[in-house]
Amino acid sequence: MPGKLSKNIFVIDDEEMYSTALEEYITRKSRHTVKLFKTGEECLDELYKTIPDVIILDYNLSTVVKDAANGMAILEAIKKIDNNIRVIMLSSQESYATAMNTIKVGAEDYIIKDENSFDRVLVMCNE
Amino acid sequence: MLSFLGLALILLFSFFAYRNYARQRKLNAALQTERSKAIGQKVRAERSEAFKQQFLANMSHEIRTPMNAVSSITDILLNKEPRPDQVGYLEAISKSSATLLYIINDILDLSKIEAGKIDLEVIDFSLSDILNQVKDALAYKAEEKGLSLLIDKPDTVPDVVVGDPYRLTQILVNLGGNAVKFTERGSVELKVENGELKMKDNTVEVKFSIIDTGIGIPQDKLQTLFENFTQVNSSDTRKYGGTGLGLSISKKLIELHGGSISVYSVEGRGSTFSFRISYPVSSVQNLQQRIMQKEKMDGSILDGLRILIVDDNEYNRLVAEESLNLKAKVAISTAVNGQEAINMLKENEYDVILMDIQMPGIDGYEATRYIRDSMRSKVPIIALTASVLRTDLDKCRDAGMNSYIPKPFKAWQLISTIADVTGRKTVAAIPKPESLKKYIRNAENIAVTDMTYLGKFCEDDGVRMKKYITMYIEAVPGFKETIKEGIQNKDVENIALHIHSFKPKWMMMGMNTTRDLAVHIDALCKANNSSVYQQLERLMVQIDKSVDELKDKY
Repeated sequence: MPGKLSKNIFVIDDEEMYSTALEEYITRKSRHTVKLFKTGEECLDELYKTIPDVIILDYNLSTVVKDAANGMAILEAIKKIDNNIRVIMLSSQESYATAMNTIKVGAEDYIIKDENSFDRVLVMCNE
Repeated sequence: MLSFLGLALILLFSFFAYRNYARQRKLNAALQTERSKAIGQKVRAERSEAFKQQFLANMSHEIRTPMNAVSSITDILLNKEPRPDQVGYLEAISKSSATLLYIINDILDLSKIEAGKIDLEVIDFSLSDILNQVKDALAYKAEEKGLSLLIDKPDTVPDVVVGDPYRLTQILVNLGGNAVKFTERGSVELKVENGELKMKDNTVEVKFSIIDTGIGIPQDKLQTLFENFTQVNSSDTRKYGGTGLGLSISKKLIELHGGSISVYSVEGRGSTFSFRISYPVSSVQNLQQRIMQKEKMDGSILDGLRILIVDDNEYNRLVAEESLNLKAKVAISTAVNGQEAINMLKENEYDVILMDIQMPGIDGYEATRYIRDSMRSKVPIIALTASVLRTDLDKCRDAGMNSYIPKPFKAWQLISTIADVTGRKTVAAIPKPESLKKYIRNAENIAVTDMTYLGKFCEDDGVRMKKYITMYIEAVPGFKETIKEGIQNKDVENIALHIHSFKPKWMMMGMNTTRDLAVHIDALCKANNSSVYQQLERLMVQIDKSVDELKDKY
């Protein structure tokens, strides 16, 4: 729901520094709740119970848990469960080709993990 | 009987003497003819040389004048809030005319170089800036072909030097462009290294290398590579395009710098083009100041000036007038030739005159001479000239002009030059070159971490900051292990993956040099380039240093 003051946000990222910082940023600057997942699979399990307002999904997921599915696969899976779930991709990779692919599969935006990204994610969530 | 013999002998003698004489005369005549021929050829050659120079000057003017009109007027239109659908067309015109100008400049350049008429700029510039510009120029094509484009410039090479950045960019774009053109897969690397550091005259010899993994060049073709119009295969021209002048121009430009170019190539594996140029080393502060001055160039420093624009070409007048009116509140008058300019100057006062050179009737030189000598006026006069040949610029100065602006010009050049000659701006003093000593030491004293960003993010809350710093320090040992394993197994894919995912940690710790290095290593891994191991060592050093710094602070 746009404009809702307290949204439910899922963050799927296996890199703990950025995800911790993102959770801290969002919860300090808004009334949203953030739930962190290290793998897409864990998040998909949760999706059968709760549908969040926004999912923030990292593109590279298989660094910590080796066999974890990568961002693209999880994106497709999420869209299969419910095509209307808002998904925002996160990545350290500055490639227009990659970004375009994720948008084609249904991501709402592709945000590069730089210093301004925390704010951009918050703005997207607030919409 | 004796007399008969005697007569015969005399006759014989005379015969031979006469034959020698005749031969001698013939020889002399032939010599004379050759001599006249030679003199004739010399005269023709000299006349041809003068003709060539005149041709160059004319062509320069004839071609640049309309080009100036096209590109400047397009810029003006883009500044006048065109409709969204018009913007695309205008940008297309802008790009096409830029390309056209580029090709024309190539041809004119070669003519100029061969006529010995190029002067190199002497200004401060940043090598990193140039490399980034070159990378931007090549990026689109490289990405299209799936090639990695790498820049390797270590901190041990001084960044700001004194020289000609435009010509250096031209050389690098040419060699880099060729590398991208002739490489189907892999990478193109622009590498910069220190050659000799000469303490006495404060110069550094910089070695530039362009390394590609392309189709390579056959050994027997290496000789003719730098000659005009040659390409390795005539079928290449069809497939790869190009004027065939690029390498020849680059080589000549490098030699003009007092440098040398060399090429090493293995067919099917790739090529490396290298060249060395010696530059005096400059000081960084100076560059920052100059850049800030240029950007602050809003035309309002010219407000209130009375400017006379003299040019027989209607579009040129329009362009100059519009460019100035967009940026400053000035009073502009125009004249269509030298005579009118003189008449107007007799009636009115002006603060500065922009004077075109080539006009019918009384040209720019004559008009200026008249204004200086007969009218005894000291009004500043700026030449608007399509030619930047040394001989023509000298002529401008001799006639009494104060400065020149080459056509086609940018608005800031107009503003800057006018400000200069009317005393509205003080010119920066020439600084003393910085000592080279700091480049000889390895950059040990520069910190790799920077808490500015983290401080802002955590709103200067030390407890929160410590949380992230601890997170970072604890992640390092595991990371180093993984990388070491990857190096041992030569598993570049795994290395790239882990480096990639460590980037946010470097971001939070303000380690920008390390982030850049990570991007570089990423590209090297993708290209499976063996210099990745050397770069990984550098990375490890920076990481160790970062941990030391962070442990010290907290």
